[in-house]
Amino acid sequence: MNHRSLLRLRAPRWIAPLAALGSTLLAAGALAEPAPHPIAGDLLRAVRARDAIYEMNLPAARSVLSGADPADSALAIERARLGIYEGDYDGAALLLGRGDLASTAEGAELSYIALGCARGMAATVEISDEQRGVVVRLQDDDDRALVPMLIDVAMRVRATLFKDLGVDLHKPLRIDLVRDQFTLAAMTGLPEEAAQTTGTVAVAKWGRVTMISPRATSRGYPWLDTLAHEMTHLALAQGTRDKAPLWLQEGVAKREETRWRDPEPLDDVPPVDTVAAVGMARGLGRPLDKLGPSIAMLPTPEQASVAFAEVQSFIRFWAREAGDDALPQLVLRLREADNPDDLNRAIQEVSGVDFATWDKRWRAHLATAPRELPAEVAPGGDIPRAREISKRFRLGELLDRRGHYQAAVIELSRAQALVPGDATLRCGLAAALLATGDRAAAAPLVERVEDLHSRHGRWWSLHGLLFPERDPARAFSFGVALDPLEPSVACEEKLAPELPGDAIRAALCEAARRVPQ
Amino acid sequence: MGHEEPVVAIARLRSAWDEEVRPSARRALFALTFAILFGGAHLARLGSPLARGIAAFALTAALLGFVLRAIILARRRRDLRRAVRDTIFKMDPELGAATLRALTLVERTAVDENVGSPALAGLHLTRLLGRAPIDKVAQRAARAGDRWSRAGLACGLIAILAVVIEPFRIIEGLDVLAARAGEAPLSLAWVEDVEMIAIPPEYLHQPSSEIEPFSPASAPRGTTITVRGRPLHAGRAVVLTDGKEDVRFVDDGAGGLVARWTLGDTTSLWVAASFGGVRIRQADAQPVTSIADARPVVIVEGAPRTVRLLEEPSIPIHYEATDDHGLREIDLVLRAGTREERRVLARPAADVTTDRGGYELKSNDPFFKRTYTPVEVTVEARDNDAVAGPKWGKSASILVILPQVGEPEALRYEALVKARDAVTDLVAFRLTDTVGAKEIPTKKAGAAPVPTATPARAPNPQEHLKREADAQAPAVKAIEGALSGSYGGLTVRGRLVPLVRGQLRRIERALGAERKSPTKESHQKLLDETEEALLAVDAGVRSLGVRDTRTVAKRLADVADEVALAASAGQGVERTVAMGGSGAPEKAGAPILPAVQARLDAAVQVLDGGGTQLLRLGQLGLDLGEIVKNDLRRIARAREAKDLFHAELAARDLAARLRRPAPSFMGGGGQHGGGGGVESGGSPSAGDGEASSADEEAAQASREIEELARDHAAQMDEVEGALEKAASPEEINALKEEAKKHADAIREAIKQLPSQGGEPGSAESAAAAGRDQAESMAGALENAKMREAVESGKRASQSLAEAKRAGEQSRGFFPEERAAREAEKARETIERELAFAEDALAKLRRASGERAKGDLAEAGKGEQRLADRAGELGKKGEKGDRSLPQEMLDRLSEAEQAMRDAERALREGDGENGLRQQRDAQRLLEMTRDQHAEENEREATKDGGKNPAGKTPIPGKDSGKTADQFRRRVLEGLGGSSDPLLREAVKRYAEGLLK
Repeated sequence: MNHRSLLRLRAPRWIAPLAALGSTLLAAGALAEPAPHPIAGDLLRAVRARDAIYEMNLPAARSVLSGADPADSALAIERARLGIYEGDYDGAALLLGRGDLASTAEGAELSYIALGCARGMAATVEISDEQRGVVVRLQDDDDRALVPMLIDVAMRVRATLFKDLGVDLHKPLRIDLVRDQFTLAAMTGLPEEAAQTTGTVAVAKWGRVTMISPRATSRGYPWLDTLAHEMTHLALAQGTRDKAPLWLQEGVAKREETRWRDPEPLDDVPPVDTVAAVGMARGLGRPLDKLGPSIAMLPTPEQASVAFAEVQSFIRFWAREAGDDALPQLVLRLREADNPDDLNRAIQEVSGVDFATWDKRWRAHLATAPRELPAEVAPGGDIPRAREISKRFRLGELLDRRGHYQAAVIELSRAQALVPGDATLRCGLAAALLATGDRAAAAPLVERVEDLHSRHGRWWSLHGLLFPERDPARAFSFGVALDPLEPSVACEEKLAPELPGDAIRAALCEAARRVPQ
Repeated sequence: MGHEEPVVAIARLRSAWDEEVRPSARRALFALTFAILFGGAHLARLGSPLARGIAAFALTAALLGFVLRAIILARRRRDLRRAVRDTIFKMDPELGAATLRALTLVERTAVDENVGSPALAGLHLTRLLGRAPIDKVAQRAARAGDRWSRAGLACGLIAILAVVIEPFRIIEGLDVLAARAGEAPLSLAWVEDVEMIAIPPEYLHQPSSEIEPFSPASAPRGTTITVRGRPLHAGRAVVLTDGKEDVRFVDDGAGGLVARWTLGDTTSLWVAASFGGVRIRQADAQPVTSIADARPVVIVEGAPRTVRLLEEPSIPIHYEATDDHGLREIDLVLRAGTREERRVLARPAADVTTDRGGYELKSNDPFFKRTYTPVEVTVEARDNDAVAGPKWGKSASILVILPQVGEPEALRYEALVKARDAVTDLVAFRLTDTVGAKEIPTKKAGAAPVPTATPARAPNPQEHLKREADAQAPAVKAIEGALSGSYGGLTVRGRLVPLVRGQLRRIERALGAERKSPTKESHQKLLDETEEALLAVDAGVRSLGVRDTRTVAKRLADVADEVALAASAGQGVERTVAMGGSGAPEKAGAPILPAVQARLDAAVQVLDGGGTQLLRLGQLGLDLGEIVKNDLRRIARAREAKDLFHAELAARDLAARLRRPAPSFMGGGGQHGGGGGVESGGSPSAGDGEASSADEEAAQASREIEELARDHAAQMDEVEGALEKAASPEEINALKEEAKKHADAIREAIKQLPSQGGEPGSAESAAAAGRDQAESMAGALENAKMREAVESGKRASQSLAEAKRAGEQSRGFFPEERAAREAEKARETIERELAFAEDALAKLRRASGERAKGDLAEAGKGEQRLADRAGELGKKGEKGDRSLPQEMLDRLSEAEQAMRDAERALREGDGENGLRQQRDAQRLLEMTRDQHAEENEREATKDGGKNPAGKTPIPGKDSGKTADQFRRRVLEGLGGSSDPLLREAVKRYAEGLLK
């Protein structure tokens, strides 16, 4: 394999059309469709630099590129890549504006990313915790209140990843918290349409975690688990020199996204084995090694859910069967892999049998998994009487907003009766009942987590409010981990101007109250 | 000579010399003086600085010479040695030298005893002097005197000659020589028998008048003052001057001189003679007071004032412009920042000194579309001053404060949300009220009172029904109020109106059903229908909120681009970039120019206001509004750091985001998020679906009505084509022959119409369009294409009528007036020929009906299918989420009936009748379609011609423009009648009324 072909191999397949997309998305520095000019220059040195960059060993990459001839296109591209990894988006964009670089496919791809990053992160707030090695850039400075929790979780995830994968993530860890999928797409190269289809909230690429702020969604999302998930991708990229296949990347990331913390009651709701089995039975699944360039680019959110369930189920099964040491060993071996056969060999070395055998075993295991899933969480299933539920729910919302709590209770009760396990409806009804003063009727709706088939931040804060004897702090934390900028959740159901006692939570509560409603 | 004292002897010698020479020398010098004086005067008369300088120098030099000579001569008389040299030495040099030595010896012995005896030395000198020949000295002096005399004579002759040529020239020359700043000190007379005539400028149309010479007079600025006189001295360059400018007198052909002076500012005029750069004035001055042409005065009623467009979506501007001599043009001028737009309000006819008129500036004016800063509105008038150039007079201004970007949309949205809330209150009432209930106050302050159920009370159906009706009334009123409101010129239009009205009909009908049978079942049905209606209204309102948010976001994107451009302009060439270096390519910290700051401030302010309005526009608006606010903080942060590069990038980021006004998060676990996976994916939440399909149904209904109208129009064309095709060649040939004459008549009638249009909306433009269409009509007639001829004829008639109307509003502007006049003449012919074409077409169709029977029968089947579609549309609109207003249902039903009638007629081969019925059906379909059209297809502003509810002031007949505009508004309003068939007839009726 010559160096040029290696360079091409490394570029993700889905990123090629982005050069054309970039020309329409970016007002500044419009990109023309790049002619496939070969990259010229010191290719050996460029490969060394790029390997160091993929390994996240940025000082080593800098050292390789030190004193490089500025006219050398191959090295200039690596310098630009290094700039992107180091967060120097302006410098990278400027460098990639050179005609000789822009006319290459790789230069155009990097230029699109650099320009998107430069634009999205221009004049934003950067919070750097040098001691703990975390740098957070906030596109919306009002997200400042989220940073202490992000850093805290990042530290815990780093330690867990070292333990589980044997990878010590290089410092600093860069987290870019962006305002929307538009910026997420511009900064990562993921097509915006794909993000909007599958509901993508975060991408780990270019040596950093780019995730959207919970304020972008009206009911939040599991943002802390998402950080853990994305950090796992970075660790795998670093540990394997970005050679881990997608199923391994996503499966391990799904596994690690909850291992940094204590288990939560809804961590396996709905059970991934069941979701994978049901999804595959309904034709929504794909072979593990044929998931495409990214799960975020699958055609429907249901397929993405099933794909995640598949990989999570597989890795859980494999890790259980092969032992805890298998994963770090696999990472270590993949680092030296040069082709797909090496991957198979590595799996065989660390776990006794090859990937195909594991796949068969896992499928056999799945066949034993229960198939019962509530309709509202079953992949590809239609929610029975969905229109009626939506209608009652919306009527309840409208009535509640007008202060007709009793009437709202009537409507929301009807909706809740149709999907008893839906957390959103439960807490909507509980809130309306509380407004009518009927605390006794509200409490059972938010009492037992086992009754739920889905997660909702407000459910936990109402639980904390109505069951103060059952560790409310834990309940409020669960709520914040799901929907940190919902005022009721962030403020632990306290009314303004009352604030939570904890300083970080108090700041979060104030930030949540500032969100336009 | 005896033994006299030496000094005496020398004095005698000097005296002998002087007696002979001095008289002659004096005479010669005297003559020389005059010669220089007169010569200098002649030279100075040339008037040029050089000539005057030389003359002055010569005179001065002569005077100085004389004085110097006198001094020198006096000194020589006292100098004994000089006397010896001048006398003795010149006759006998040896004797002269000896005498000088002796004189020296005498002087030395007088001061030094050692040199010798003074007495002996004196004696020696005396002897030597005694030897000097005094007669010889006298002879020599006589010869010198003779020479002086001859020189004197020559100078004298020269002086005499200089005088004799023309003695007055000496005076002129000396006067010129003494001039200061181009003006000679001595006034001289140049002309006599002076006459003066004042001729005012032509544009004033005033007669000429005589001015009494050299007495104060006044005349309009630009008046030509003609001065005539008889010259006193020939050959002089006589001028008429005000001291600054000269107008040369010229020969009037009758021995006199004439000069014409165009009066500028107030001045005094003199006659003068010009010598080079010097004038010698005549003593008489002619003071003339100039009467300036005043600037037009424009008064706008109520100005100056400030208007908030949101509160006053229509700004009436009544003006009166006056000028002392005449107005040429009246403009409405709109200025915002560096933008300026002038609109001609009137071009008054010549000599009109007063013009009154009006204009109505509306919130949907194109100038306001892309303007966000306050707009200064003035009326400006231009006069006809041909002398100093046209002058503009300007009224006091009306300052129009524009709404913030998106403010009208936000107001509209909020009004509709209030209306929706009223329906929510109604649902709350019906949910808790059963047959037999009492009213209790609601739990929420400010919400409508909500009666609630009370089982304690016995059922009272009549009371319940009354309460139901009472509860429904405010909801209906709120909805009607919201639908008919105007929000900064924006109204509620498009598919939301029929959607909401349809839902009102739905609950009215359900209430009616309960009235008929007040049972629990009918109440439940009423509740169900009210709930569905609420959800439908909610879906419609939210959908409008999303559409408005997208529209406003895209407008704000342009403003964000302006911020980026301003920031970019502020960076200049100071950008210093290190290739591959640090990420701060801008020289941050450099001071930002005030002009850039001001531009940035203005754009940022607009963006901020627009962001605030977005926050009022529902869920998507909240999302995007928050982004705008955040990105403004980014821009502010960069500006604070004087880092315009990053300010520009942040602004470009915002602009790009606003151009893609999608929610920040979509997909995965439903529209609200939260239910999705960690990175992506997930399944939707139970309540995330659409609660009502009403908005989609309304959109679908709109599309179906549009398609039906289009298909039906095609069906009509088919019938017309079939009838035309079926005409026999004989009929066609006969018709062609006759139609040729009519085509010629049309061409003759339109030949005076302009072939190229002026500005859009002008009479010329409309007349040119009318000409084109009339030519098409003529062409179609020649080819016996009667249907085309009728269509072209109708359009031509319409354009010509428009030309006439535009011409009437041109207020005397000649090309417009002419176009209108010619259009009116041509229209008479076009109307006549149109009647012919229509008649011929009808005859042709009747004649060909039988032959086209087969085609018509086929068309009848098509018509039947269309009628079925209309029936289906009406049926769908009867109930449910697609409920249409009764008015639309009625129209659809009538259209269906007309189609069925057309179908019958066509099946029977009655093409003419079938077509008539088809036309009726088409008219009704178009009316339904227009009512259902999207607001983006027709700009949703009432001020586009229709006044909102309330009293409309009717201007008096002499209130100029206002009256014209009122007429036009009425015509447009009535002409835009909802019934296309009646539109023209109503317009003609309205024209008659207004006349």
